[in-house]
This record gives sequence, C-alpha cells and structure tokens, in this order.
Amino acid sequence: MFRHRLLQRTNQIKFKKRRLIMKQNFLFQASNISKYYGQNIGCKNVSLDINPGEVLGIVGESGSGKSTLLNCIYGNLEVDEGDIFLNDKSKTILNFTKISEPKLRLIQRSDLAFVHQNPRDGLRMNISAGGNIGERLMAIGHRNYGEIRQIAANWLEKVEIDVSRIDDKPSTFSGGMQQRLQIARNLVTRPRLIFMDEPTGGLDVSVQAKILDLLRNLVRELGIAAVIVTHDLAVVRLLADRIIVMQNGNVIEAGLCDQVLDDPQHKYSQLLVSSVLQV
Amino acid sequence: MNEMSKNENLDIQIYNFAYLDENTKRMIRRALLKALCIPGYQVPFSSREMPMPYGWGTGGIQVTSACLIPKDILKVIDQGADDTTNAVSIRKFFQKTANVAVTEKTSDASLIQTRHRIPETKLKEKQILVYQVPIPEPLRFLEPRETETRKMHALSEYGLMYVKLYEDIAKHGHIETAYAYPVKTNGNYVTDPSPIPKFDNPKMNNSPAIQLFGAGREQRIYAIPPYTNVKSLDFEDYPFEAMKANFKCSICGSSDSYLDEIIVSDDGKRSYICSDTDYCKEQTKLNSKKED
Amino acid sequence: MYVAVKGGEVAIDNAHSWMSEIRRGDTSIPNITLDQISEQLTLGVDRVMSEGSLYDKDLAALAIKQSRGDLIEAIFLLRAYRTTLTRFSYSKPVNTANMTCLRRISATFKDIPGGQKLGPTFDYTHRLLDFKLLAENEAPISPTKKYNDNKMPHVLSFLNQEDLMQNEKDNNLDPIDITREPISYPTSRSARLQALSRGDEGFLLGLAYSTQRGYARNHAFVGELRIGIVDIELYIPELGFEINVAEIILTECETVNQFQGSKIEPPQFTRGYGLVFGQTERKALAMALIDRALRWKELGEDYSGAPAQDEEFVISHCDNIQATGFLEHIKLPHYVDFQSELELIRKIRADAKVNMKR
Ligand SMILES: Nc1ncnc2c1ncn2[C@@H]1O[C@H](COP(=O)(O)OP(=O)(O)O)[C@@H](O)[C@H]1O
Ligand SMILES: [Mg+2]
Ligand SMILES: [Zn+2]
Repeated sequence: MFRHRLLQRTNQIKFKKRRLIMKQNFLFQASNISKYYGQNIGCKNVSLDINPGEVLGIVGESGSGKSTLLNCIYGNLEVDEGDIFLNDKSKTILNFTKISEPKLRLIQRSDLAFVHQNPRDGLRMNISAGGNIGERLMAIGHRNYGEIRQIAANWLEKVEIDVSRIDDKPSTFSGGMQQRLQIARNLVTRPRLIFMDEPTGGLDVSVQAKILDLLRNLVRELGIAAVIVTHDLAVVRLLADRIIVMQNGNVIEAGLCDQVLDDPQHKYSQLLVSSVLQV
Repeated sequence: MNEMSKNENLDIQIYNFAYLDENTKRMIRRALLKALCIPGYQVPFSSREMPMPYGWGTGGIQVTSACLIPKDILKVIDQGADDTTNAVSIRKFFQKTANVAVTEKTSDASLIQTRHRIPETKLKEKQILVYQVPIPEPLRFLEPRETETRKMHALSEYGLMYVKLYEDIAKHGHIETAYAYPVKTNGNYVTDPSPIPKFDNPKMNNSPAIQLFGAGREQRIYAIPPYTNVKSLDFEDYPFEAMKANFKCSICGSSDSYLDEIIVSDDGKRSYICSDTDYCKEQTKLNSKKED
Repeated sequence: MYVAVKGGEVAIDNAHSWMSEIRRGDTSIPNITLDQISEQLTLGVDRVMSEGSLYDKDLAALAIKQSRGDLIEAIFLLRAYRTTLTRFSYSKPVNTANMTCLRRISATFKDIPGGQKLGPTFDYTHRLLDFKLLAENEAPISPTKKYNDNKMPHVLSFLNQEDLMQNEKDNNLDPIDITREPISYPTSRSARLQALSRGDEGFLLGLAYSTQRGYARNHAFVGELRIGIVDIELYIPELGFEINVAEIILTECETVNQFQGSKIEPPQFTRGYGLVFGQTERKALAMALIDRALRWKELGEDYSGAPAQDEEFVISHCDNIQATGFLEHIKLPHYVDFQSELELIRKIRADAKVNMKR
C-alpha cells in the first residue's frame, strides 16, 4: 500500500516536471476545468495540456465525463470554473473563457476541428459529399468552384471514398464512409488541433481498424495535434502519445500512454487495463 | 363636396402627414441613418402596425412615410408596373395621407417605392428607391434562427451561403437562384436584394440613387448608400449572369428590358412585354418620334 | 399632376363596394348594433381587445362588425388603429391581488381564503344546443347575492409563505415595451409575456397542449385562475399622486409546476404566468403553460427540443397579424419572380438535354 502511494507520488512529480518543460511552446492548455449539470458533476477540476503535433487520449468508462470535458475545452460548452488557453498561429495566448464569441468561432473554424461520434452531428446530411468538404474552404475565402471541387475530390481519395460519389449525399453512405467524410471535412483546412469524440464508436470492428489506421496516418502526415476521447483502450494504444484516465468526472491518472497502460497506478486504471486484457 | 372627397379630407385631418406620427418617423429615420452608415447591415427597428397587412409592403411604407416631404413626387410600382393592385393601393394611401404629387415617370419621381423590380430607366442622384422586403435575411432559408444568422453576419461566416451555390452548380451546372439573388454590399455584409429578378442585380451596383430597404414584419431596415459596390455572389469560374427572356417587347420592341411572359391564346401561345410599364411607354414614344 | 386611372384602381374600388354591400347582408333584417355586439358577443370582443392590445369595447365591437365577424381581421383593425394613438403615459402596474373577482378558482386547494367562486363559466354546462335561445327575448335572471368583499389573496402567496414556491424577484428593470422596441433574442421574460398576451389564441392553445402531451411536459396545476375587475392607476406628476383612470377586466392564471432543484437550491415549485385582457380563460391558461415551458434555461432544466421551449420559434410565430399578413401576401402578384424562374428552368432543361444527347 505504501509502495503504491509512493509510486503514485513520483509519477505525479514526473508529470508535473514534464509540464513545466512543455509550457514554453504548448499548443493548448486547460486548467482546473469544472462543469456541473445541476447537482450532477460533468467533470471536475481537470487540467491538461497538448503540445504541437501531439495526440492526447482521454479514457474512462461511459459517463465518466469524457465528452463533457471535450466539449468544454473545444468551447462548445460553457465551463463553470477554469481557463482554456490556445497558443494561436501568431503566438498569442488566447483564453477561451474570456474571448468574445465571434473570436471563439473564428478559432473553431480555423485552428480547431471537431469530429463527432455520430457523423450526423458533424456532417450536413442534405448536402453532397463535395459540398461538405468544400464548406470550410469556402468559409475561409475559396471562390473557385473548379478548385474547390478538385480539393474535395483529392480528400475523398485520401479518406478512401470513391471520387464518383462526390455529388452524393452522406445519407447514402455507410457509417464508416460517413465517418471518413466527416474526417475529411474537418481536415481539409489543416487545423492545428482536432478534437474527436469516440470517432469509431458506432462502427463495427473491421471498419474501426480502417478508420484508426487512416487517422493515424493523417495526423502524422499533417502534423496535427489531436485529443481523442474513447472508452476503448486499444484505440489510445494505437493513436495516443499521452493519456488521461477519468472516473466520475475526475482525472485519476495521467501520463505517457505506454507507461499508464503497461503499469497503471490507480486501482481504477488497473481495472480498466485488466478488463481489456480479459477481452 | 361629394362623399368621397369629404372622407379623404377627414382622413388627412385625423392622421399625421404621411400617416405615422413624428416620433415614429424620427425612430425610423434614426434606423435609416444607421443603415446608411453600415451598408447592408440589418438594423432592427420597432416596426408599427400599419393599416395594410404585414407582407404587403408595410416595411417599405414605413420607410417612405419617414422620408416623404410635401414637395416629393412619388412613384409606386409593383412587378415593375404602376397599375398593379398593390401599387395602386399604396399610392392611394400616400395621396390620401400626405397629399403628395404622384407620377408614373421614373425620371420625374423623387421617391420610388417598389416591390420586386428596379426601374429600367437609370436612377439619378437625389432619387430615393424604397424596396419592400418580405424576408431581409439572405441566410434565412439556410438557417432559420435569427440568433444564429446574426452571428453568422457578425463573423462573416458565409461558408454555408457558398455551399448552396456550390450545390446548385454540382447539381444543375448553374446557380439556381433566379430572384432575391444574394449580394455582398461594400465588400462586407451579404445582403438580400429583396425578391427582384437577378436581371436587376447589376443596377444596384454603384447606383447614384439612395437605396433603402424596409421589412415591416421582420422589423428590419437596411440601406445601400449612393455609389456603393454591390456584388452578386458567384464563383470565379461561374460568374454571375443577369438573365431575361431572349425576346423583344411586343409593344415597344425593346430587347434590353426585363420582359413578362403572357399567354395570349387558348393554345398557349406566348407573347412578351416590358415589365416596366413606364419604360415601355417611353420607348414607344421614342419610336413614334423616330418614325415622324 | 395627371395620373390615369387604371384597371387596377377601378377593380379595387368595385371589390370594396361589393364587400360593403355583402357585409350588410339582407337589408330586411335589422342592422346589428355595436351595443348588441359588445353586450352579447362579449367573449369575441374580449379576444379582439386582448390580441389587438387595445382595451376599448366599442372599438372592438366596431372592428368585429366591420370585419364581418372575422376576429383576426378585427384584431388587425384594432392594431392598426392603436399605432396612431399617442402614448402619453404608462400606468402603474395593476394589482391583481385587489381584483374584484367575477370568478376565482384553484385546482390545488379545496378551500382557500376568500373562497372558490365559479362565476359566469361554460364549465359544467352540458354542451347541448339550447333551442330556447331561438325564441328567447326575455332576459334570464340569475340568483343574486351581495358581493362578498372578502379579501381574495393570491393562492400562490400561501405557498410563498412556506418558501415552497419560487419567489419571483423584481429585477428592478423597466419592462420592455415590445410595441416600441424590436424584440431581439434571447429576450426578457417581460417581452415574452407581452408577446404571449397578445399572441394568437389558437397558436398558444396548440403549443400549450403539446406540452401536456410530453413535448416539454412541466406538470402544471392551476394554482389559481381569476377573472375580474382591476383599477388602472396613473401617476400624475402635476398632482404628485396616482389617480384612477379606468377599470378593466383581466384574466390571470398562475400555474404551479414542479422543479427538480439544483446544486444551490432545494426543490421548489415554480410558476407559469398568464395575464390577458377581458374574460379570456383558455388563452390565459395556455399562456401560463407556455411561459413555464420557456423558462427552462433560467431554471436550469434540459432543453428537450420541444417547440414550446424554443423562445425564438414561439415568439416569432405567435402573432396572428404578422402570420396572416405574410401568409396571405402570396396572393399578391409574383409574376416577375416567376418569370425569372421560368427562364432559369428552361435554360437548365435545355442544357440537360444537350448533355444527355452527348
Ligand atoms: N446534458 C446533460 N445534462 C445532465 N447531465 C449530463 C448531461 N450530459 C452529461 N451528463 C452527465 O454528466 C456525466 C458525464 O457525462 P459524459 O460527459 O457524457 O460522459 P462520457 O462521455 O464519459 O460517457 C454523466 O453522469 C452524465 O449523465
Ligand atoms: Mg461520451
Ligand atoms: Zn415594351
């Protein structure tokens, strides 16, 4: 028991040290985020930071507050306590909880992107695949139809959707295709940080593998940082550099991905890891 | 004095000049000044209940009422014509309540209230064109929520607007909007030109006249000051194209004015005539002079 | 200046004179008088006054006569007239606790101080056509009793005493006048209540009904419904005190609704509020239910996506004068726009044919 606590301590210290070092050129930082739903806790006192190009995994069972946290730090949900900082392209540090809504929206559609678990929430279902990919381009000023269409076609290819489907609506696509389309729609303007909430949640296993593979390659290739929420440890093992483990709205463990997965310190993390191994 | 004119005098006595009271006019003029300062921006104003139904030009009527002075010469058109029922009704209203001079001649008018058209005769400095606007929000059919669309304007989040144009081209090879074709005013706000045919859009650009837009039910006023850049939205490789029926007016022979199609026989034979009745008349006069 | 009278002008004049003739109907039947309308079609008059937002029985009766009984048209006439009236002052807020009640019921307590009072109501009548009314010319007489001028405090004030009822706090702001300031969203409760009070009875009824059927259900009990006469008081600066300028009839409804409580507050009942000109019971009830549904944000409830919770949807569509105007405007000529569509569709079809041949 004593040894266990000691280990936990040293781990925390290690973690803190690393944080101090990273602060110089961090991309994104959230400190002491709390969000309540009436009497219920959504998430409590969560801090995290992300370096450029880094992938952070957030794991925990259903209801542990992962989605709440993600929506808070993306700026979709108003936080009750805490601050959220982005080191923007011009190296100015912006606090999401202080900036105006126009400014926040501008950031959300340039520096950031958000992939929803359910592609229906992230796509315009009544607009063609090409239009879905083109929207962000047009939003930042692209005005050449031919070019927009070409870029959309290239991205369809990248996410392995047949280019002949460019004028079809997402409602005619399979779940996996819809999710790949949502990814393309988000990445087309090359954001610096992408948030993903269970991006493979609703899909069957073979489709999941394909999408994870695709995500890994794209994120690496484009050097995009990502926050990926999942209840599936296999997903973080594949994608994440670092992870945080959540339970009942609290972060109970944080660290390098392999470190936490191979040598979990907290009882709950141990349980999570062992339950995966059992499967 | 006959019954009719007695009543008309009575009305003038009961109501203020041009119907609205001076406080209301002041409120509208403030909105108009603000609108002129921020071209294309929709200024909320406290629209009043008018004695005509919402949707029948109450916004335009309130703007006209706030602008009208006794020496004005008023022209009212609907669908380009002075003799359509709604134009007649609105003109009568101002004759009754403001006793101003009226005209059908575009060039004689100091204030023109219109629904769905811009006159063919080029407008001049010191003329005011008042548009009746049903839905002032060009983004309304893409996003029904006012709270959202106001934000979209504030952030110039016009991606969705272009998505619509993109979809049209992808589907039909053309931008599908034929009227109320959205424009960008002064390089800034996307603006609804009211339901004029897109043939009229180029007339809005760099016009010497003041263009005022009133939407009564939606409680919005916006404006385009004289000599303002007004650009119809398009793509570089699919440029905006003004469009009309490719015929000549069967009355005046004009081929450059916007034409109405009329069905002239039981077997569906079509004929085309100018939608702008004043322009057609002027052209006819010119033709007969030439012949003389 | 000469303006030729066109076909349009003549047609309009003729249409209007025909309408006047038809309005009068068969001239062998006596002309209906305004007194008859305001005395015998009282509830119609009340609806026109409330949705017309102008309390004047004679004008409302005139509007109903002029509109041939089309109440929305009559409301429109009153609204248009209202615009031309100068606003010289705002009255003091009416004190409905001092109402001289014609009717006052509570569904939450069997017995209440001041007593339940059924009043002139259709409730518990059997809805059978009463053929006696065909012949009737004598006034029916109802039993009378001396007006008991017991105080009739608001029923909900008793729950207030125990703190079981959420206290409505005065925000010390002047209420917005929605006929003088454009509504912008999100709006204040004062603006919302005004909009609802003059909103269309049918629209409100349907929406309130939808909350009862589960679209943002909020478990409403009628805490109290009262109809009666209140004084309108006006502060006269020159005199330095208020004087009574009018007596009007109002219907007020307060519902008691459940509320879960939150992190900072123990569970409490909350209130939906309806206040409408005249004897307009259905409208006041509906208004209270919708008011409560619209308060979800302030009370920290979930937004379930129900129409009655959507402030922008409810407020921007509840006004029947706006609605009817815009709906009916599609009768106006639109041939210029239609022509433009015609040209475009011909062009697209021609292109498509060429493409298909290829
Ligand atoms: N809109 C909401 N209203 C009330 N409670 C919520 C809401 N969203 C989430 N919660 C609660 O907050 C907690 C965290 O939920 P969530 O963030 O969705 O967890 P996860 O994404 O890890 O499954 C849960 O207890 C959940 O029931
Ligand atoms: Mg979740
Ligand atoms: Zn002609």
